[in-house]
Amino acid sequence: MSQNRKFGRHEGEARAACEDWQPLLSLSAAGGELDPAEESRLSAHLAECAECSDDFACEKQTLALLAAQHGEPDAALLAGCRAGLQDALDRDEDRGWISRSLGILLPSSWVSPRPAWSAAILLAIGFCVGMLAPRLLIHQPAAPATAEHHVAPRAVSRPPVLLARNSSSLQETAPNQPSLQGAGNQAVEAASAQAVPLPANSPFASAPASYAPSNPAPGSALAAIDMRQATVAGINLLPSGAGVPPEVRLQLAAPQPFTMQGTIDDGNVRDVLLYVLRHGDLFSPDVRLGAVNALSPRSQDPAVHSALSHALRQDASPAVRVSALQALDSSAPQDLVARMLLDAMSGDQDPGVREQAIDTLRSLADAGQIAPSDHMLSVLKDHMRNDPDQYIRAQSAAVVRELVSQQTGNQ
Amino acid sequence: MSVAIEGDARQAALAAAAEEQALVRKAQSGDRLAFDELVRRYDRDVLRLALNVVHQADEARDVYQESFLRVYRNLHRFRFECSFYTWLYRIVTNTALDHLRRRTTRREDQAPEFPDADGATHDFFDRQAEDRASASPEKQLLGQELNRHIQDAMKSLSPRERAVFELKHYHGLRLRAIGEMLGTSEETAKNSLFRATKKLRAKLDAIR
Repeated sequence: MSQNRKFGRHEGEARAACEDWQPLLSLSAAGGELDPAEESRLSAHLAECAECSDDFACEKQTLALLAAQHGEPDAALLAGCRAGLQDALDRDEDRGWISRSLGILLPSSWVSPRPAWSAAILLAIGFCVGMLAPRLLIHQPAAPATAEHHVAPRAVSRPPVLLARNSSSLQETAPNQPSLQGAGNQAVEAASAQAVPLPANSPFASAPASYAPSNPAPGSALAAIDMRQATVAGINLLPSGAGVPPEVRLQLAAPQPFTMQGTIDDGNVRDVLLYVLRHGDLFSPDVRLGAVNALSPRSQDPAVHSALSHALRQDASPAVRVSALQALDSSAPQDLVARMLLDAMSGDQDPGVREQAIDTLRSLADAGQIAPSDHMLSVLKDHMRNDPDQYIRAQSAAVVRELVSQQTGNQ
Repeated sequence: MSVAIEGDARQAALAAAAEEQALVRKAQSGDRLAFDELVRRYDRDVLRLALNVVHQADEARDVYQESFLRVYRNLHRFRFECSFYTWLYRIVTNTALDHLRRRTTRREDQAPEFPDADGATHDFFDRQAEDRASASPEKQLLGQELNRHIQDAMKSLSPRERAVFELKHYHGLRLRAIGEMLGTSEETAKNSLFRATKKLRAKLDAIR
């Protein structure tokens, strides 16, 4: 067929001539590379050469096929790249700042051309440090108590030994006795015995009448103790059998130290623990953490749930917030949990808490236990793109993927 | 009428170029948010280019990161002698080619793998087939088969040919710009594209 349109050329010559057209043909198929004169020349040739015309059509088909199969990069890969880049840029900026600072202190032009002087200066610095450091270390005064907490004498200096004051939950601590006898290694130290000074608005600071235990044990001596100077100095959890809530031992710091012991079903113990969580700023983080751990088996109780939620939102310590989160995870309705987790992810400055929140969200999403909502997806997508923590960005992307696939499946 | 539309398009293009120039200047002055915005504009294309040149997800990720870090560190040297994306793609292409040169084994031509939910891995091209194929298993199978052929065909290209082909056909760049990016002439870029197309057709014509 081509020979008919080659107007008498030999086949070999025609093929050779057509091969000369190939680069132009290829550039024309690629688009936008030929000038108008070349385009018109090629068009004229294609009009008279069926072989080249077929070839041109084949080339376009091949390119169309390749274009159709050319996909976008995987979204997760792109998200991972973005997260990695942000971290690398942050590191780069930090390194830049450090090197700039060091550059001011130790400009290379200052040291490198004078190796002898540099060595002498380094030796002098080393000598001074070697001579002065031991003296400074030996004569270092004892560290003062922090202004914030005015830490009272630790339990080690005033070992709390327990003398039963009544049969229920209260024991008086006598000084100069071995500490926590009988608890031994079985005691789970939930808190160090670190006393916090009693604030004026503490329930213990007011007259005993203002402290009304919700479920006072018969014969409880709690109300009889002068609690105006008392505060919670430590919380210990003592392991118990399966399914039984642990014994809680509360060390109350007062002029006459005493200990309260019982399960969290004991009204006095429970009230003190709830008070600790609701007024967390009055207690040390260890005490608050102990309260969360002690209360967590009863997280379905409305009052406990409320106190744990309060701790999750308000507590200053990430460890306390994480523990509250874990305690709530097993108790609250899933939509409430999801909302709290999203709040924690959005509002918490601590990456550890946010990581815990997204981990929990992911496990819930994987188990199909949360119903995706527009708000949830929007918050998660925001974290997927903008969270400063790479892990949270990656996990958010995974949760979004899971929730979207669930949504699509449901439809 | 068409002249008016062309005029509008031209105005819009000029406005977009001016806006991008302002963004680059802000980034040059140390505005991290402006730089992040530039990244968001181009990073999808950068990753796609990297993936199609190096053909491995991990390495593409490295190319992506290394390229943008180079851009970040050298942005103050950008003098607006070409468009920002031309400058960016030049860096990406050279970074990707550097990676390919550094490779010591021939494993580089394996397609990038992505684990799925059940732990099985599918390469990048299989994944595209899954995404594109309709619910029909036959179509899906055909799509996968086709992708395997395309993957084989792409393997036959040299890294430079692959880069030129990618930049021309999937990023719409002119060969002159591609030549500049690769530090070569327009003519060499033309030859690379021609060779690439010829090789691909030789592999793919049989299955069309």
